[in-house]
Amino acid sequence: MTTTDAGGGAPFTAETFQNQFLGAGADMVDAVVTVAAAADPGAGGAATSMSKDRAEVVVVDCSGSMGSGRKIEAAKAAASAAVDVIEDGVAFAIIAGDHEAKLLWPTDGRSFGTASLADRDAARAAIGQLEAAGGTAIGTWLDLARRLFSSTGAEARHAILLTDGRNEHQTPYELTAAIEACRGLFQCDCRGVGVDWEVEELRSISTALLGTVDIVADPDELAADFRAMIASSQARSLPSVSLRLWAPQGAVVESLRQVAPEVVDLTATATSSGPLARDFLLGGWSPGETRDYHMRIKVTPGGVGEEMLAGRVSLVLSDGTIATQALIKATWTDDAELSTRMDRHVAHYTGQEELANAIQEGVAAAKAGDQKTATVKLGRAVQLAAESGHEDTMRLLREVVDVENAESGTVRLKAGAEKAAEMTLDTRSTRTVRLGKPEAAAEPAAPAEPAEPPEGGQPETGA
Amino acid sequence: MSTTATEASPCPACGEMLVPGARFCEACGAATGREAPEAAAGDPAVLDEAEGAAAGEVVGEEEPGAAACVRCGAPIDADGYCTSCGHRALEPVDVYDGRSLAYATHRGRRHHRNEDAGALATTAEGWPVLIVSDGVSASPNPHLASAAAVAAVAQSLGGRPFEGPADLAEAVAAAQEAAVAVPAEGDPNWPEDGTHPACTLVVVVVAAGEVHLANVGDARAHVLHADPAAAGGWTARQVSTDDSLAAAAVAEGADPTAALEAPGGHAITAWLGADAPKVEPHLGATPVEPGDLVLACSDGLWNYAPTDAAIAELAGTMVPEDGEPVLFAEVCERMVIWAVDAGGMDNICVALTGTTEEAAR
Repeated sequence: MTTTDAGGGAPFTAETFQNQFLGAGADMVDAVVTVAAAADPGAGGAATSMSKDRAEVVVVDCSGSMGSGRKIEAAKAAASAAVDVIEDGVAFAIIAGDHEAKLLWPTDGRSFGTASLADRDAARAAIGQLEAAGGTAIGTWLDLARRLFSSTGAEARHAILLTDGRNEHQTPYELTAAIEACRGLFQCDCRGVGVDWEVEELRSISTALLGTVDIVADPDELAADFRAMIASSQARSLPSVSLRLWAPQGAVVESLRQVAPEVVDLTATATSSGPLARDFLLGGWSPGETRDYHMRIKVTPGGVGEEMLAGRVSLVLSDGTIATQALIKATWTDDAELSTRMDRHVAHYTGQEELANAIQEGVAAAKAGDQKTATVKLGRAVQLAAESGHEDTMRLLREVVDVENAESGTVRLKAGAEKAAEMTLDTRSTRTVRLGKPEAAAEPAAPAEPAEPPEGGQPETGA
Repeated sequence: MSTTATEASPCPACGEMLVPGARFCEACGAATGREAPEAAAGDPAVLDEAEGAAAGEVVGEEEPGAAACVRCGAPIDADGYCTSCGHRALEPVDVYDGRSLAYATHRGRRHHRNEDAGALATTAEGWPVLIVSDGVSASPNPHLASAAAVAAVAQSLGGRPFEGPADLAEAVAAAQEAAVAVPAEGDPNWPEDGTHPACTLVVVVVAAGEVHLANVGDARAHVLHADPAAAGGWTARQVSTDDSLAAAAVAEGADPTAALEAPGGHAITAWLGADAPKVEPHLGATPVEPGDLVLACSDGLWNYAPTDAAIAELAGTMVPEDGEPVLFAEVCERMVIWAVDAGGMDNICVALTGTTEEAAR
């Protein structure tokens, strides 16, 4: 375990969890690096607060399908609610999207308005004029958002994207190209209302644009959700940072995933920052926020007894300053006692990553009518959720399968499982639980279950 | 010490100015196409930082960034790793310079930590005492056992009149007591499997005209004798007796080299620690002449110089020609570096002193 920080008042700290001992000839190094932002951002000179220097864009689907149910009314209420909570002085704009995108507000030729009593009123009035008509071309909405954000020098740029349908009036390639063009320019939280949108489509946007994705099955919940998204965006008062990973000559970064609070595969987002280093954009941070990253690095094995620096993780602030570093090491040994131990953090998150995959594959198989695969995958998911004590995911799994034996992963697919339940499970499959500190977890659990024998703290997973 | 001074030139890959003589670019890690500096293989700069140790000074602080990687020649970063291949730079040799006696020790290349220990003392008569112990890797906390054993011997013999073999036997008994007292628990590198800390021991007292020694296990002592007729100017004779399966085989007529290479040849048959069946040190004395040197070492050195002839040859390359005063600390350090370069399979500890009147002060 390695801890480094830049001294008192460091804006970020990083800590490595790994078993650095490898057997002779082994070449795969696994490590979990926990990155934490300082609770008091004022302490870290370079990472000063910038609450006003931000721009918000709200993208509302107004395709024809939004006219069914209460969706368009709920979307209008939600967009207005978002406008209500945008802090004074923050730049904001509203996009209405169907088979094309239009700037709903401001209407006076500006790219952005500025949150004030008058501008909020004007924006709400424009939102009130929205009507549901037309198709769905999400890529065009992103294109317009990108053009707006390109015109602002705001340090923090955030969008909310709401849809109720598939990207029907565009090819998948056009959407992918639009997403790629937005990468690094702004962060985007995506929401699907109803059950006729594609989880995978929105997830591809939120993953690339460092945001969240969720289902809002009940339109009445939209307004509260929009308020919450704006609030958490405004809480990300620390400027965007990158994770730089140096690995030695000949090494290959097999994967780099954020694994807490949710799984986000960042591997493909690497940009070169020197022949032996690559940067991964992490987006903005809230003071006191903690995220965990799991990386696998394939190295050229050293001889028994040799020690190698397999990776150096640096947090790079937007001005190029290195805020903190953590080292990932490899030491080759012929002592199997040492090399076969698995670090509990690596084991835990390996299990959480498998859990997310098992759910996504299981739901996909169920949708495709492959009941056998769906049963196996969702059974495995139940097993992993039980092992890691992931109660939220377990609850969602129980909406889709009947659990006969969680420990062995024996389940039956629920005959009349609701589509919304399946989509909720899929959307939230990437959310992980953290591994508690052994000392803390060893404390007696809630007194509600006195008969249960102590579980020995957080269960080890991924065995 | 030498990196060949070469004219400064840019990296062929990225254009960054290269460190003179570097085989890899510091900025991008690309090979520069230059040959390895000639001295690099036999004389790694990182090991040389301990050079010129002052009397009694412990040299062990790494000077980050100053060194080049012994594997690929790229610079070493502030954390002690190569900026190109990532390999950890070898730490400098720990050198303990007592002027008229000295020892040096190093982890070597393959062990995670240095489990060898050395110590120096002088008797009330001013006679030098060399103490070397090798912690047994197949036991818990061997580094604590060896350190405790050498400290106990130094305390037992240091500053007291030396009256002969009985004092050495008493010192070994003190070392055994100290090794037994080392806890078996708490070693992250060894499971708690019922074994106890263990180590070997060699102790040499260089008295007037004779050398007294005691040893348990396979740490060795040699007397080096200047002999103009010998190839390298020196002859050597081992004065300790190995407690090893190889030594037992040789005693029954086996070829010494074959015996050491045989499976289990290095297994020791006696050691200090709670699991030792019975501690019966080899005690002995042998006459020496003025100008002779006395060497004590762990098998980290003698594995690469397993015979008297090989030790004599090594001494010939390390000890200056006639007339030059012998700088014991420097010779110890060079011998340790030589063993690291030879492969560094084990921890290395080398202690050296002389027998002249001058050296004894």
